[in-house]
Amino acid sequence: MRGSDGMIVTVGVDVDGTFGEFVATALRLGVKIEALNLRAAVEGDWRIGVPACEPAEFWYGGRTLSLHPEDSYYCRIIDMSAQETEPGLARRWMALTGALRAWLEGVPGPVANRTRAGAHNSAKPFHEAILAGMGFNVPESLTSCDTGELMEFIAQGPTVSKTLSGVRAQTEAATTESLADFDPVSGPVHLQRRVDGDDARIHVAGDHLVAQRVPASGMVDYRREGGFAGIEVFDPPADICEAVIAGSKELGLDFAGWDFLISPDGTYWCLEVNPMPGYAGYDIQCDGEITRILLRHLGGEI
Amino acid sequence: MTGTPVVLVAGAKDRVARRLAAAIERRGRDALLLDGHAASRLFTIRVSGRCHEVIPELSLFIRQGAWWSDQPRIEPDERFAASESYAALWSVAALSSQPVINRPHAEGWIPAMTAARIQSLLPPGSDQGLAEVFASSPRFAAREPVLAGQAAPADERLARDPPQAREQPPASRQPTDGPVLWGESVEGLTGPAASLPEGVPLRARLVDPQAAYEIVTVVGDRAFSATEDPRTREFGLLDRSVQLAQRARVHFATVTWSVGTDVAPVRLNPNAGLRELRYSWAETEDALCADLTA
Repeated sequence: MRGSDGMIVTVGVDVDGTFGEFVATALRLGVKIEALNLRAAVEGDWRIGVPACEPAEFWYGGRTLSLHPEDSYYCRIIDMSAQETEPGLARRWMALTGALRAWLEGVPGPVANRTRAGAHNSAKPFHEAILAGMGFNVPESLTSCDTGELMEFIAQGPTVSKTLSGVRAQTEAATTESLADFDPVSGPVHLQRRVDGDDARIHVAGDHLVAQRVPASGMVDYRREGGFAGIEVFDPPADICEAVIAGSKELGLDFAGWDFLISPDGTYWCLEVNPMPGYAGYDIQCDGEITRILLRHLGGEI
Repeated sequence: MTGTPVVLVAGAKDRVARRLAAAIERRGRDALLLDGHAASRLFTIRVSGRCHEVIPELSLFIRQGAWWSDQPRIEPDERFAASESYAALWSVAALSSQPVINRPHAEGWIPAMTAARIQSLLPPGSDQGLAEVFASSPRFAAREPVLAGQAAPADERLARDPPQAREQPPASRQPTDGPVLWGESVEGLTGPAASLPEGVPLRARLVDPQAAYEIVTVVGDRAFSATEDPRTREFGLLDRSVQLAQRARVHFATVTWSVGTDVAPVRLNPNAGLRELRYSWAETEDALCADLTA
């Protein structure tokens, strides 16, 4: 049942671990939420009027679900059309997710996150320039197909390579040997100066944050090299806390995951800010504290 | 030819880009017509401290068709390569100090906008209520309040697609005094929503069957109308189109207006094809060439 105040609604797909973590933790904490599972909804019917001056309505699995503009939203809207082999269902995915995104743009209350907020994370050189412009320390980077330029950058110091778009976002050490077979026809490469130190992830939800750190291990990508085992909650300096909260707001992000490397001299090097952080692995390590701050930001009483 | 080339990033079949490339060359500048993947390989980007640099410094004219969108079922590796090139050129175009038409922003390139999105660009207080309905099937689009037989506010009577300038609504629409719910299915079919296939998602909006349409092409602060209809001047559609494009943060776009009992923008298209541009192509070409070769 809906109360007089808005409901907390989450929108996502049931095969997404972070969506599942949010729902499970909210239930464990006794916070009432409504969940729209897009994998079920796409098989049903919907009516979504834009802008959001009326409820968006869904009929699927024998139930009716109305999303109201006065509700608050945690969204992990994943368009699974690319995974569909049946063209009609692929088009339903695009139609449903496109309509929902357009509707959410007009919702006046908290939406974590609105469409396209922080989208520049998918264009890493631009993203880094934006973060540097906001006052964060960002390791220098080079994006190019020019083998000579790439080799020269590597020769100047320890280097990592990252994807430009964030797809298959694995970070790897870059060396002159690893680049020996590079074919410029394959497209530009994004290199960034490697910084040694502690990895840190700071999740921000409105004015709340949870900071976690992985002590220096020499791993290039701790997420894929077993680094979660050593992760611990910590208190960053006040100026960093203020910067990530203000930065999230400036970028229009109700919820964000900031990645830093903390060098031995205490400098915080900002690597990126994730506009749709897959935070389940971090949340498990801090007993659901990230879900708690997110629920609190969305109006949940905890 | 003199000077550095102007790079036009577009699909091979893009007639606007090809015409513009020829026009630039007639004006004595080289024009390089490339797809997105090839264009992304031209540039080097350096980000260091608060400084960034894009090398070489070239003017860019970028079209959405450069991004493989006409190949919906590409392989995962190909899709990954496309994403990487897209990200690189997005960064180049956003960070370049040279003219870029249209320049992407932090949210990416501005897509074509229909009534609902355009409504969000209008000044505060211009809210006209429901602009579009997205539904899984026509019978859900037609549910009240849109089809309750209520006369919608005039500005809601928006056409789904921009018919040609001076063109009357399609003959399949029956003349009527009231608004008609007009839809477009995800399969690309358009028509009265009730005539579209059940079970196929659609977007729909109320249109005024008696309305005529004007297309205004905007290039920076210049605007060119498709028709010489006196109502274009009477309603200030040139200036209003420039203002809309500026609010949408696009340098080059067409704005289609529904001109009936009232006047309302129904579509803003930053990737207009010749079908929309042909009525004012000469002026549009001059303006684009001037801005790209400045």
